[in-house]
Amino acid sequence: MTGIVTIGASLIVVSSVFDTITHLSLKLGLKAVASPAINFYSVVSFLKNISTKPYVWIGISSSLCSLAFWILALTTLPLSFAFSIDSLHHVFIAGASYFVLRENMNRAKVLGTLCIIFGVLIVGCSR
Amino acid sequence: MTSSSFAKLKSVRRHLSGPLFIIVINETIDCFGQYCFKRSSSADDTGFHSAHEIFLTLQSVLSNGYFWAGLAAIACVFLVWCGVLSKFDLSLAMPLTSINYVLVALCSLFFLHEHVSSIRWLGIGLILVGVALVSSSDSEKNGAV
Repeated sequence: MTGIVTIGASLIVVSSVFDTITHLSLKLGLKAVASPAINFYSVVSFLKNISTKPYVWIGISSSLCSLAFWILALTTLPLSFAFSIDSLHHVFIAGASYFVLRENMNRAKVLGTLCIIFGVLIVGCSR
Repeated sequence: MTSSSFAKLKSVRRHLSGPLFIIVINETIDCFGQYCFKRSSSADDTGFHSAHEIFLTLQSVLSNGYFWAGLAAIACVFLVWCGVLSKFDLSLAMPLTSINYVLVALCSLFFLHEHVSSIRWLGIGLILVGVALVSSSDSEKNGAV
């Protein structure tokens, strides 16, 4: 039983890592792209623009990997438990934003992210 | 128009183009998409035990309008998320997506009439506090600039 849980939990960690890679590479790909205005022409040219960025495609493929590992994990773990471990991806993404993207982290952001992680843990573990 | 109501209008406008507003809209579309996916697969015609069963499952899902509505919603969510990332920091936008948990709890309560336990409300409250803190960290920065 413990073995299966360990395998399931590690699969979720792998899925979270892929999720982090997804958002990190999307952000890297979109950094230099001007955000679209809310009109049809602008959205189409935004789409055209992002479809030429290799980082965006890396992001999309890694999100598919993340989905595959998530589904694999769900075959061994109950959904609520899986969800609470999944709150890990907030930790990974905050770390990646700080260390890789060099984003500004202030006290409110760190405190807020911690609140969210505990909140998700509680929602996941509660019945 | 007085200057104070003009300032109010400006602040409303700033909130509407802020990350939290866009992300709340996006997570609502996401909720709708997940609901469609759930509706597109009913338990009685779903099975993965043999190649034939998998084929039948796929056939039933792919011929269901809800599946395509869900797929369209997810494509839309991806596009909006790209728009958000092109404008805001990842460390700001990502925590805000947790507003999803709050939306799902409210949907379960009002539309599905499910029971949401008090400990779960505590978790949801904590998520809301976190979202408010992260979102305020952005206006602090805007104020400084």
